Amino acid sequence: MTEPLIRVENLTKHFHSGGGFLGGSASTVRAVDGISFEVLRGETLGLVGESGSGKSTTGRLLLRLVEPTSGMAYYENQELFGLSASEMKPLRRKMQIVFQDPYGSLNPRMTVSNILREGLEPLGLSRTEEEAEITRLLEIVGLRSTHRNRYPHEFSGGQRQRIGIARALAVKPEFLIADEPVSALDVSIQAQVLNLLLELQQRLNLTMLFIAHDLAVVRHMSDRIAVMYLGKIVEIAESGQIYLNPRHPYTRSLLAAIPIPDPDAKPAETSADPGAQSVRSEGCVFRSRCSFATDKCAQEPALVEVEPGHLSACHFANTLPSL
Amino acid sequence: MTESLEAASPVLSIRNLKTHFFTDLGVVPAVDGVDLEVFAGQTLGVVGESGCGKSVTGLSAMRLVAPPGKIVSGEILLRDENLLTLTEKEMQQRRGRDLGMIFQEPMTSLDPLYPVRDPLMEALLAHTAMTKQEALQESIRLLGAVGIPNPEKRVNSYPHELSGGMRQRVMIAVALSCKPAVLIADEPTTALDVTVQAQILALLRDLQKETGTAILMITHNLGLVAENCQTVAVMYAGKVVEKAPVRTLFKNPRHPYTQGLLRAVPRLDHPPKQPLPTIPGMVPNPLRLPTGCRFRSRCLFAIDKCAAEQPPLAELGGGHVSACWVQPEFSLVPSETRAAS
Repeated sequence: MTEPLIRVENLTKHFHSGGGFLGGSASTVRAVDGISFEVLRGETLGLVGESGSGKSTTGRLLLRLVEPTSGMAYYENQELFGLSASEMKPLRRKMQIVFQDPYGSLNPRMTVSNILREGLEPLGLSRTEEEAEITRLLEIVGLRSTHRNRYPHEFSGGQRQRIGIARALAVKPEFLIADEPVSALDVSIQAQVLNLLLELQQRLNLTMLFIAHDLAVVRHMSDRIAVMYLGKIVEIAESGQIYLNPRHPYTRSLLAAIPIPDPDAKPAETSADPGAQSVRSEGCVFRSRCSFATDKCAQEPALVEVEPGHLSACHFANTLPSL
Repeated sequence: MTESLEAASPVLSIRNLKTHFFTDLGVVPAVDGVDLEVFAGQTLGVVGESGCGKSVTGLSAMRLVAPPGKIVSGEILLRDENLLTLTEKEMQQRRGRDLGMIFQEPMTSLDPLYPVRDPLMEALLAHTAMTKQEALQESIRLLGAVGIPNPEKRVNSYPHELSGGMRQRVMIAVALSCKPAVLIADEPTTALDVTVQAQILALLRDLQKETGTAILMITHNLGLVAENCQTVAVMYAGKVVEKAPVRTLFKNPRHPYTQGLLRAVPRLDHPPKQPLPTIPGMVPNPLRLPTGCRFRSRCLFAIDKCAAEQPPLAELGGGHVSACWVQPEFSLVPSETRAAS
């Protein structure tokens, strides 16, 4: 599990808005701003960040659901962004995505078996093989075979997410992107779906990119975690290290803000100035909210290794006081 | 945090509240005999999953339940006055002045066509003797008090010019403008980022200290409950199944549903990539609730009696009640609190 399945280099996506003839001022949102990372075969890389951090855009870029402004992404050794639609097709079978909203991502007019049949189409199976495959898919996501003739609205949110997972697994992908797969679900159902994803990863030897805003959920699911803030990766480390030894001030404030379900735990801390949200400044992206910032932070820090396998984009990564 | 202040009497008591929805398919007992009390300066957390009746309980306290929903019985006492006996006009006087409410989505609860001074001044002019000029000055002061920078300028901003966190601050300013005795906060931070959430909750705690407002906090987030509430009520399928001082609820829950919820949350201090203990199955269809205990179909401890008879909220001492015939002992899988603290 040492070789990367996915390699991303300097990936950038800028969205332009305004500047039309009605006279709005043009502006550029640097949704993803020059990020590089790898997902190793068989591992789960967690991508965590708050709204606007660019985590979902990153997932969509990898599947070419949006086109990048610049940068490269490799699947094994194949560069993705230079491929034509027909060249991309075989790769789409290897890379699948599960979305947050199982309501919006399943066609309400199709039965479960038709939804799955559509997913199976690229495999070119016979009718009998398809039926057997639908039965198998329902079984592995914990639904009953008798569910196949029902419509999405007849299912609960958790069951719909299972259908979404079955649909993604139909083509036997190697790489699964899960974009906030449990954030619309209640706690007890969330646990069921997380367990299912863990089990499927083992059973099918999946490589995963697990995108979510909830650090506790991401940590539960991931081998390594990349923390994003305003389009940049500010820290990457093994899951345990992110929690025990965060080396970026943003990761620290994220950890400190999570309310712990234990009345004896230290209460969540508030750090930043509320007026300073998402203000983009030159230099370090987190500078305007950072309590450790100095003049040096006007220079953008590079994402560099601070200990083996642990990268941080902070000038003071090595001198931050321990938590 | 103090566990139980010996306050004289509750500011708000909800007694045997039943709010049912009369749908084409049948009657949904969304809130089905709920008793809750909120004391001055304290926060009562109401937790549960979607459809458990927690939001309808909050709306009922404000008498804002829309048809086909209807409060069918019970009492909602603001100090000694039963709000359910008031006329709509009298009730309007209570809303805003005695009872404030904030909702999950601050974008939809602020009218996009009006600057933020409008809802603030409207509340002040309706419930106080202030002049327009005084109300404007007070609006500016309130925006400052909820941590909005540059309030003289921001008072003229429109909702879309503010971030989600800022809009929720405006809603808090509106809700607290007339210093209500009770604030009902329905998922007040669910739509916000976790760092903003921490700021908003710290703000609510500070304001509560200042004003002594009693808060009824409705949430699905057990972490928020642990940090912000003195007392917690857990709801399931329209009923309160357990209620206790916060520490008791987290350390010694006796209802299998509460126990299951606590175990199902992924924790930063547990080993990653291990299966989480889950609650099997799902919430029952409210039109076809099981006989006896409504949780029994998902309960690992269910016995014959659970099908036959609905368990009452049994007193366990120290303000702890739990509606279970078995009342199993609890142990969370080994855990430490925030390791670095």
